[in-house]
Amino acid sequence: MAAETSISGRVSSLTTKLIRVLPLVPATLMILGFFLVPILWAIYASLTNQGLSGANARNPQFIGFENYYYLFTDTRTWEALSRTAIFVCLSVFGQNVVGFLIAYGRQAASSLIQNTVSTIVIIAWVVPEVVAGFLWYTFLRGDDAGMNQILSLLGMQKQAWLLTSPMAAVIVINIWRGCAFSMLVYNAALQDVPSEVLEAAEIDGAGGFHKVFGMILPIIRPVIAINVVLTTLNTLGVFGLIWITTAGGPGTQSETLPLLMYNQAYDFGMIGYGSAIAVLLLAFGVIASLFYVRLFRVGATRND
Amino acid sequence: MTDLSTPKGRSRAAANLSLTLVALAFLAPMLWVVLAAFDTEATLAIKMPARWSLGNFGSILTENVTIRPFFNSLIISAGTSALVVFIALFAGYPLSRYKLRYGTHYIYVIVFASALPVTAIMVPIYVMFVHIGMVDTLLGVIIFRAASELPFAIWLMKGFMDAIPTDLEEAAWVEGASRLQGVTAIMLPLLAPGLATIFILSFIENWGNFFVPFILLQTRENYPMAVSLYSFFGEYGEAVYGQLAAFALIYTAPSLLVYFLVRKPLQSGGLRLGGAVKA
Repeated sequence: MAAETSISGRVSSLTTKLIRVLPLVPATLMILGFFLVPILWAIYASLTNQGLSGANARNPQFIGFENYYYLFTDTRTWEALSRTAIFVCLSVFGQNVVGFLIAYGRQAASSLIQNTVSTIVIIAWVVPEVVAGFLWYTFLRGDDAGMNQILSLLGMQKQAWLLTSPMAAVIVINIWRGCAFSMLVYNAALQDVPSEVLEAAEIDGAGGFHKVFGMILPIIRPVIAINVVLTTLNTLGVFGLIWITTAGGPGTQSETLPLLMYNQAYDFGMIGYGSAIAVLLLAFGVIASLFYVRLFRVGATRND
Repeated sequence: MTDLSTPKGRSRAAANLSLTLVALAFLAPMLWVVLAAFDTEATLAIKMPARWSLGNFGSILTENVTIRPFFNSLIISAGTSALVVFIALFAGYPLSRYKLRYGTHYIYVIVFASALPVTAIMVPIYVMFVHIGMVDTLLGVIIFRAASELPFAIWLMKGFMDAIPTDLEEAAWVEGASRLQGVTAIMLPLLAPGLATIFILSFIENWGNFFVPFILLQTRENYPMAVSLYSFFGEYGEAVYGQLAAFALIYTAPSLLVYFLVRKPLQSGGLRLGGAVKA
């Protein structure tokens, strides 16, 4: 009798368990099917000579690490890699610093200015990627375009910015577009800094510099860490902005990894080689994501 | 007016001045598009139109250039967001309400996946979609966009569900309601603002996304506005700046409109990452 109930109890608990995880099935299938499978496939394809069309598309050959060998002996890869590093580092630095400064300045400003500045910064963020690229293309492009108009008003030299300094241009554009996110994050973080701490410092005669570096930044350090990882991950995959403003050019002067991947896979039809670049890009993404999960866990245990 | 004789007044004036400069710097690249859209003789220079006109809007409001891409964008964005909300609703429930053996691990995987650069998997996705015959279909774009939005949506959904006390549902079960009735009658109404938030955030992302449809779609009839603007720009870029500006304004309007619906909670509370990291 006792055994019977325990068996039926076990069966029903098994069905309960199944019923409980059943709602997770569609999401899990979607994520496995459209994340895990493509990632595994990319790793496999990067070991073949798969092409976009022709014989290599129908019957790709397994060629081992040949793609990686070519990839790492090609100076174009190293250039794209170092450009990606510069693009990501400077964008992340710029977005975090400017975002923080706006958030910090907002606290002291009058409410009209507070609202106006956040609305304008946020519009730059909400505008679709292609429109942002198009706006900056027209702003930087011509001899009489906006940037040069402003510079000649100030008595400075005109330049064809997208040709003379394409990397600087795409970095500035990406900072412009991404600042709002950091601003919103730091707005919230600054609201959470206990005001007594700052008031006490003010009474002791602490200046703004000391307040920021000695008190605020140490207090909001966990938020800074997460925001740096998040902005890094967002910047790593940027394609549209660069593609529309410079298309990676002139020549390959602003070609980052995502653009290199696109060019090799689609323009030259080398899917296997493009997959090897995808794997490289993913590797960086995985490292940054792992940092993110780690910070997330620290935050989770602290909040419990 | 701010009083410059006190330290507080001086720091307010300094903050006002520097933020005004920041605002102008952010505004400068946007100024051109607004002026050029109403100027049929627009050049690259930022200038007041000699004659304000709606002519640019008139000439692009044809089926091929604007109307069809607008509806394609709408189908992709609304379809994806609806799918995301629906699937995340199911996935969020067990993660929030049951103590699952691998629940925490599942959440970590979700957080990990939500942070991966989607750009990197577009090459394999393209090849996969060629094999299953979903390349150059709106459905293909919707399904892949939904998959890439899902991890973040599930995570948000769990957070919104966690915020709803279980007592109300439990009370309903005591009265004889089934679990499903508990969800539909008690939880869903309380969850509505959360569902709307997820839908809207996903909608803005999808409306602006360029790379996925750029890779997966090939025929002009299927282009959403992002790809249409890009190809319009490539073909006529040097000649018709005013029309391009008008198109850009029409394309931007819905995402701004939708954004201002969720602006208040975002701006007042901000993005509280400290709270968001709670598992």
